[in-house]
Amino acid sequence: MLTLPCPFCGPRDETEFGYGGEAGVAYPERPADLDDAAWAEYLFLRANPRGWFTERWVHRAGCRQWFTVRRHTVTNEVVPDAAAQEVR
Amino acid sequence: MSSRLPTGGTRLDRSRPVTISIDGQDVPAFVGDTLASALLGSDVRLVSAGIYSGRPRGVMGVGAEESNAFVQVTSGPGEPMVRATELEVHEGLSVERIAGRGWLPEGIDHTRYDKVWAHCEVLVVGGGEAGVTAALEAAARGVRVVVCDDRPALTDARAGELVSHPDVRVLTRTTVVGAHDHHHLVAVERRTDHLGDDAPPDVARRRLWHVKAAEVVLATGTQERPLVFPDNDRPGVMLAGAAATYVRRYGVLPGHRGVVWVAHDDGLADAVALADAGVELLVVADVRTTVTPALADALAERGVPLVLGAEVVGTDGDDDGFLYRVHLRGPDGVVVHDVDLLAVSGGLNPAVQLWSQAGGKLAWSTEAAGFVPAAPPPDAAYPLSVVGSALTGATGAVTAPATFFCGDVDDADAARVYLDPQRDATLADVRHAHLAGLTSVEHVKRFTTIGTASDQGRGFGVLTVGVLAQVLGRPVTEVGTTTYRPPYTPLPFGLLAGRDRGALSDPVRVTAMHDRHLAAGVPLEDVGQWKRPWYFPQRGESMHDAVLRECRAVREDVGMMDASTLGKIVCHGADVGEMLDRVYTGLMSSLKVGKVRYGVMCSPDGMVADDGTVARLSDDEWLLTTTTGNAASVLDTLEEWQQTEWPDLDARFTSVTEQWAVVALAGPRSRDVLAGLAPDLDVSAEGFAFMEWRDATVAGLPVRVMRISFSGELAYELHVPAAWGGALWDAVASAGGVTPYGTETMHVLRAEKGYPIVGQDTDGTVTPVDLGMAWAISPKKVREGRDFVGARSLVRDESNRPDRRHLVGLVPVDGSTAIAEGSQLVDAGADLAAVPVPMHGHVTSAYASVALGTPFALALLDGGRDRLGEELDAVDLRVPVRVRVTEPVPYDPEGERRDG
Amino acid sequence: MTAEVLALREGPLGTERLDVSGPALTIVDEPFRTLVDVRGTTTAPVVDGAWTWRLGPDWWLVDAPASDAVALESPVATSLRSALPGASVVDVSSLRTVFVLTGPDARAVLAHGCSLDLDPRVLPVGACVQGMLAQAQVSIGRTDADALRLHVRASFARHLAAWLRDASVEYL
Repeated sequence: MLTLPCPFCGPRDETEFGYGGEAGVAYPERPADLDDAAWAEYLFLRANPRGWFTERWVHRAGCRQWFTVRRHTVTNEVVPDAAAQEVR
Repeated sequence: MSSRLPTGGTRLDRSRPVTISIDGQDVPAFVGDTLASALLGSDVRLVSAGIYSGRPRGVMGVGAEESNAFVQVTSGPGEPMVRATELEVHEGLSVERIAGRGWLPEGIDHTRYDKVWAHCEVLVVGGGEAGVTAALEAAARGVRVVVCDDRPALTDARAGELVSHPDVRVLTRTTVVGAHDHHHLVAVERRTDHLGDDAPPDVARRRLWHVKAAEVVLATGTQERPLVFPDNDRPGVMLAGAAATYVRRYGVLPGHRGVVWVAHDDGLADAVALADAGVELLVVADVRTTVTPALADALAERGVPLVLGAEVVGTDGDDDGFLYRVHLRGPDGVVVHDVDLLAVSGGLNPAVQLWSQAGGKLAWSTEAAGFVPAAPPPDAAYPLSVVGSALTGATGAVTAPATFFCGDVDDADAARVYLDPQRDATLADVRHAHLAGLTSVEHVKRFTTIGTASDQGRGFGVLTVGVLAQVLGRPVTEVGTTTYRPPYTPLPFGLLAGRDRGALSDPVRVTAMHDRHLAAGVPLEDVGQWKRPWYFPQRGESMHDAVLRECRAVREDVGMMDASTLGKIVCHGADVGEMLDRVYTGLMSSLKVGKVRYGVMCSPDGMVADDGTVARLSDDEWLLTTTTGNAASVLDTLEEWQQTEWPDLDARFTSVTEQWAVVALAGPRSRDVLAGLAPDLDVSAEGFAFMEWRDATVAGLPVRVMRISFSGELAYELHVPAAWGGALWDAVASAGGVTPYGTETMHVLRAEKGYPIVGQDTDGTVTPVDLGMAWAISPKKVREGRDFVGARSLVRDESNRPDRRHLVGLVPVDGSTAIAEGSQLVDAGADLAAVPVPMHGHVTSAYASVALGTPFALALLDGGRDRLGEELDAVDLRVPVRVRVTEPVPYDPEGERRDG
Repeated sequence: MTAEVLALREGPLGTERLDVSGPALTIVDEPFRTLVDVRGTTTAPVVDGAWTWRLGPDWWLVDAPASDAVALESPVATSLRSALPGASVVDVSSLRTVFVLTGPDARAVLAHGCSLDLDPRVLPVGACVQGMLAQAQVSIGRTDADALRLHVRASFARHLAAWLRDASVEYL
C-alpha cells in the first residue's frame, strides 16, 4: 500500500487513487499527420525504467485532481514532481 | 507427577484454576498459563509429531520462535496450527496433537473479527524497557504514539504512566506482522481468545490494526537460537532461556535432572536460574573455552560443574522417543548423562524481521553472533530506527568457534540433525542441496524447505545460515540471510476479511424504487454493485413466460421499468460542446437546447468505450447518460482529458446518477399513459418529437421527460429527483394497465433492435464500424479534419480490414432451437473432434423473441457483414445449432414504431 | 398540493431510519437536506444556516436545511447559480444523503472502515475530507469536537447504514 501525496488532500492510501501511467506523454498536436507507426508509438509505448519514473495519478476517491509524482520503481520512494506543472 | 512449583509465576493467577484438555486428557492449569506451560507443568511432554518422520515433539521455546509445538485448537471456532507457547489457556480449552499440519475446521467461523485504522507520529514495536523509554520520549514531544507488544501486559515499571497518557495508545496481545511500504504497519490484536466462553459475543475476537505512522521505532528485542546435534528434536530438549522463563513466568520446572549446553553468557545465567529453581544440573557445558568469571563462580557456588570447550554429540530416547540420555564430548572425552532436560542456547538473534520487511539491510555481526540492522531503508521520508541493546546486538559476549553452529557429524547422523523440525528438514538436506550445486541461501531454503514452515525460520533460520556457511566453507558474512516477508506470524483469513463478509462483503447499491421491488418479490439481477429487477413474474410464472409476456406488453401495449441506474453526468461550461465533439464520435456542439442526441465514445485506440445520450439543458449545461456499468469510468475519462490535455476548455463535470430516479415508459400506448399523468404536457408527435426533452409536472411531481427509446417502440424516460422516485413509480404503476418489466426484457427488446450493450456485445476490440454504426461518426467532423478521441485509430489500415469481426444477427435455421450466449461460430457441419476447430466468431447476446417468433442472437463474426445468409454452427458445450447470419436489426428495421 | 407532494418524499433508507445510540455515540440520518455541488470557484459559497464543505481546490458542497419546494432544482441551487456566474451549480439533494455522528466514540466507529485520519488536529471544525468508508466513497466534515457529518451517495446509503450499525456494536 503506497501513500501518495495528493496536492490538495495530502498523503492518502493508494486505494483512493487511479493510476495514469507515464507522465509527459502529450496527446499529439495533429494525430492525422502521424503515420500508423508513430501513432501506435503514442498509443502503446511507454517507458518502464528500473529506478526513478515520473507518473500520473488521480485522486479518484478524493478531490479528483490529476497530479504527477516521481516514484522509484525499486524502493517505491515517492516525491511530488515540483517541475511538472502540467499533468499530461 | 507435577512440575508445577508451589509458588512463583509472574503471569499466573493461582486463585483461578482452569481445566484444559489435550486429545481428551484433562490437564490442570491456571489463568495466565500458555498451553505450553500448562503441559510442562503437568509433565505432558508430547505435543506434536514430525510431519514425515512421525518422531515425537515437545515444547522447545517460549514464544514466537517455537518451531515444534503446534496443535489444533478444537474448542470454540477451532483453529489449525496454533503455537502452544502463545496459546493462552482458558476453561474449556481443548486441543489435539497434530503431525506437522492441522486442518481447517468444518463450517463457518461466526466469531467476530474486525479492523481498525490508526494514525500516529511514532509507532513503537515492542513494549520492553527500550520500547517504553522511546514511547515516553515521543509522548513528551506531544505527538501521537502507538505501542504494540505481543504479551498480555507490559511489565515495565513505567507502563502505567504510558497507558494513561492521552496521546499514547498501548496495544497488548498485539503482534506487528507486517511492515509495508510507506510505514503502513499491520498488527494482530488478540482480544478475547484468552477468555474462552466468557468472551462477550459482540467483542471482536481479534482485530487487525492498520497503523499509518510517520516514524517507526523497533524495540523488538531478540529471539533465542538453539544449538544442533543429532537427535536434537526429542521432547526434553529445550532452549535454555525458554526453560528459565518457564520457571519465572509460570512457576514450572521444565525438567528435574538436566544438562545445559550454551554458547553465550546469557545461557550461563539461565543455567544459574534453573539451578536456583531446583533443577538438578549434572553439568553445564559451554562451546567456548573462556567465559565470564562471575558466571563460572555462580555455578561453582551452586555445586554445578562447568565444562568448557564442550559439545553435545547426541541424545538417546526412551521407548517413547523422549530424551533420557545426553552424550557430551568435553576435553576429556564423551560422557553420558541420564537426564530429562537438555537446555541449549546458541545465542540471541536480534528480531530483525520488521527491519528487513521495511527494506532495511542486515549484516552479520561477529560481536553479536547474529544478523543485526545495518543500512536503513532508503526512503528518508519514513524514518525507521531500532532501540534496545538486545536488538542492536550490543550484548553478545560470544566468541564463536566452529562448533558454534554444528559439530562434526557424519552423514548417517546428519539425517537426524533437525534444522526445521516442523518441516522435518535436516542437515542431510543441506548437504544434499550443496551436492546438487546450490550455494545461495535463497536457493537452499527453497530446495530444503528450511525456514518455510509457519515459524518462518525464527527458530532455526540464522543457525541454518551458519550451517550452510560451514558446509560451503565460506564465512557467514558471504552467505547472508534470506529476505523476511510479511506476515511475521500467521494470521487467519477471517481476520483479513474482518467485517467485510456476508451482506457487507461488497456494497449493494439500490435505487429509490428498491422497496417497491422487494415488496413485489421481484427476482433481482446483479449489475455491478447494483441490484436491479430481473423480471416481474406473476403467480406461478416461469422466467421464460414472464419475459415473453413483458416483451409482448411493450411491443403491443405499454410497459415500465426502473432505469435509475443509468449513469448521468451534468456538464457545465462555455466549451462543453467543443469538449463533447472531441470525446464523442458524433457532432454534439450543434445540438439545440431541448434536444437529445445519441453518442458513442471511443478509446484513443478507436475501440468503443461507451454509448449513451447527450441532452442540451441550456447554453452551457448538458446532461450525459452512460451505460450503468461505465458511469464512473466515463466521468473519469472526461475529467482526465479536460484536466490533463485541454485545461483551456471551460468544462466541469458532476455525476448526478443518484440525483435522478428514472422510470422508462415504453410501448405504443405510452403516449396515452403519459398524457393522462401529465395533462399540461403536449405529448403530440409534433409537440414532443423523438429525441427531445421537456420539463413537466407528472402526477404532481417535478419531472424531466425525455423522449428516448431503447426498445424501438414509442417510449419516454421520466427523470425525477430521487426523493420522489418511489412516488413516481407508484403513480405510473397505478395509471392503469402498465406492465412492469425487468432487465431481461430490456435486453430482449434492445437486442431485437440490434442495439449493442457496450461490454456485452463489445469487448474492447470492437470499433463503431465493426458494430455497423459508422453513421454515429460525424461526417462533418471527418470532412473538416476535426480530431476526436479514437479518430486517428479508426483510419488505420488495421481498423478497416474486411475480415474484422462485425456485429451480425443469427437465427436458428429450424426457427426454434435456442442459441446460447458464448457459443463459438464454426463452419456448418464442422467436425468438432478435429481440434482445433477453425472459429469465425462468437455469440454475444441470445434470447427468445415473441416479436420475431424465433430465438435469435447477436454475434461478432469475422467479415460478418459480407456473410449475410450464410449458415454456420453455433457450438455451446459441444452441441452445435445450425444458424443463419442476418442483419443485426431483426425487428422493425425501418424504425417505424418509435413514433407510436 | 405542495404539502401532499412533499409528504411523498422518501429518503434513501426508505421507511427505515438510522438510529444508533450508545453512551458516547449517536448516529442518525438526516434525509432531505438541501445539498448543492458547486464547482469552478475558489471562494466558499455562503448560504444561511448551511455548512459549506470544501471538496477540492475549486469544488464545494453546500449542506443546507431541507427545502419545502416542489421543483426539479432546489431554490438554494437556483440562487447560487445567479450568485456565482461562471460556476457550475448542481442540485444533489437526492444524490447524496447525510449521516450525523456525535459523541466521543464517533471517530472510533469510523476508524473500523476508513483509512482517513479524523483526529481533530488533522480535521478541525469546518474541515472536510473525502475518501473511502466501508468500500463506499464518502465525504466527512467536522462540525464540533465530537460531531461529524458524513455524506454518501444515496445508492450506498443502505449499505453504509448496515455497516455503521454493525461497526457500532462494541460502543453501545
